[in-house]
Amino acid sequence: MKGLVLTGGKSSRMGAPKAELSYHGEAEFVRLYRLLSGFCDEVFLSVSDNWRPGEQAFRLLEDRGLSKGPLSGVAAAFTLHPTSAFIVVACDMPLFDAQALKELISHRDATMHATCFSLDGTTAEPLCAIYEAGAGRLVFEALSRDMRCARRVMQTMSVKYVKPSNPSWVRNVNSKEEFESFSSAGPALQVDVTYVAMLREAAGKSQEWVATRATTPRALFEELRSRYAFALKAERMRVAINDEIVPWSTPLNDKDRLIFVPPVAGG
Amino acid sequence: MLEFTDHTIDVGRLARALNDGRAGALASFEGRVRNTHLGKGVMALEYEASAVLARNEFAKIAAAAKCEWRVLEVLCVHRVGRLEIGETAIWLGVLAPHRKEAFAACEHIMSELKARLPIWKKEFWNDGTYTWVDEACGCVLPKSE
Repeated sequence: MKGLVLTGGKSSRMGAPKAELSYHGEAEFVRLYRLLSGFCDEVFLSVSDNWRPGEQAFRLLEDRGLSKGPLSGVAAAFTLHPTSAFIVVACDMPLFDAQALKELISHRDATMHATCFSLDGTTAEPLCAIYEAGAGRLVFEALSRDMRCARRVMQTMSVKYVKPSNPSWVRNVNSKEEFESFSSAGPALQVDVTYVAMLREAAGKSQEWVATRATTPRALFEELRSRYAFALKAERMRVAINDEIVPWSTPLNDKDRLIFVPPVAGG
Repeated sequence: MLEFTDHTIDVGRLARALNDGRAGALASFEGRVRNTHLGKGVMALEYEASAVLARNEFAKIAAAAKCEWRVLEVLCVHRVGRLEIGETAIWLGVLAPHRKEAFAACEHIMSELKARLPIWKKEFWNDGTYTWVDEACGCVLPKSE
């Protein structure tokens, strides 16, 4: 199976490309490309004249003037690899993660045209779905008739619907603000992190608000450690929440103020 | 009480501030910047502290000491910012009715402060490099300035 990340061009509302928005410390197209790489033998980034990544480290798939919305990318993928199945993911679902992908794959029915998430069992989420090789012909046909709505095109297919165990996985988000307002009601937290001493030098900043789905300071530190390449491990440090030293396994709450305490040397 | 200052610590003023008629003893410790560490020449130090967190930790340390010994008052001032060789980095004073408990509590509190207070020390070596001091690890990882 191969992977396809749909980048979606410029966001008309935000003026910034959705694919470049960053909810987890890196651009969404980078996160999804890497996510799919863990499950697919080859991953493609669908690009058009509207947008392409600055970096060179990605396998690009050109829309070549088709530009009839996201299905153009799917069509381009099947043009290149007509006998392969594709996992297709769009760059506007910041909570779509490895668990979501595993669940979709575990419910795959390769005898159908597609396997896709559906919150109500009938309405498809066509931009996080597995398209089998046989679906390619139907995508080409739809585009030749100028039918661009992916949800409607999916109605022409035989589809296995999968109800996601976490509805947030398929939630569309189009801006950082939307993500933040959504996440304050949802599973993600906003915490205020202060960086001191060597951590400040490594992070290049002394404070920031971090949106995280970590539930403990230890998990949050691991996220930040990989983001900023901190040399210190949690085992050698302590952590304070709201100006009290607490165990690393303390549950995180929204708006908590955290200080990671590297080895001290007062006196 | 714990205070931080980026000015020279006036030891005499602090000793005079600890004033209680019940006290027969003031044991104090003054920590100064030494010109060597781990056998290497030190040029200067820079201290950084997380003040609110440090005061909360200090309050716990002082309360525990007051449980163990008859201690009347504990006062500590720590420098932050850049310090030259010979300058006072910390002053700790413990006021108690008698000498033995003042000494014992002062020694104990000082050890706890060094191990627990969120204060970090950057050592600038004579060779132009610096190190964030990590006492527990004892390792030295020089970085170029």
